[in-house]
Amino acid sequence: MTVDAAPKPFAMLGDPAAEACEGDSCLLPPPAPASTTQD
Amino acid sequence: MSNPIDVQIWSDVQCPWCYIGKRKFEAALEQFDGEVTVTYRSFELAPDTPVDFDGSPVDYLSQRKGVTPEQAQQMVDRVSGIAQSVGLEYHYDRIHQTNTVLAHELLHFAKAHGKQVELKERLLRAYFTEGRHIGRADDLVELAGEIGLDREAAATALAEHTYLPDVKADMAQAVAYGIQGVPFFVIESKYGISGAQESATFLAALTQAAAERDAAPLEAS
Repeated sequence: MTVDAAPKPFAMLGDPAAEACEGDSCLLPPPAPASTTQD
Repeated sequence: MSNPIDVQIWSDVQCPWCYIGKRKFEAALEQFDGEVTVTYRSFELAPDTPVDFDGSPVDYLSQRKGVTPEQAQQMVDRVSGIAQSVGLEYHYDRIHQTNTVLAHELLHFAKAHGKQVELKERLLRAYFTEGRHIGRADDLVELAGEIGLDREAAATALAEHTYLPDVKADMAQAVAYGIQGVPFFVIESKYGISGAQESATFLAALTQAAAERDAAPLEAS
């Protein structure tokens, strides 16, 4: 599977203030700038 | 005849907002006049969580978020109330907090066998409503079998981690897209919607994407 090299220019829709994404459900995994693989 | 509208959804199977967002998105699909193909992409919210977390979801939230147990309980109560408003029953008193990487591998297995959407719903209901464990291979194989997937093939895929590269690729794609929370919906590789937004938002996005596609000049195929 290939991975796009750069973010696509999404047009974000919806109300940012209405994003029901808070609490633990929206925690990001630890940053992995060099590699996204898991051991 | 137009091709279906493509929707890619990054989410996790122990993400309460993802299940709520799924219901809101499905409500939009019921009103949308057109075909849609949905693909679930993997997003591990907490890849460092052990398969058998020693404690309740409130304990987990309290530790992870650095909030008091009372505040964690308030978070759980709030999201449970919102879930109820879209017809979902969350039973946090039964939930087994776990690691979801195997569940994501199984979702890719299900995708390869044409049953990803069914498995996604089965896993979410098992986790939030039924209090079933979704972090262990044996439990996952049982759930796969319940929706008609081949148990033996599923067990082999999990044991051999056949689909782990696909899980990692989804995570890498999420990072590349700058996705910072889930659920995250990408429509026709053109529009992004973050969070469990209202059904009207999803419907408007689908309608807009379909109108723009239909208005575009036909390309030789």
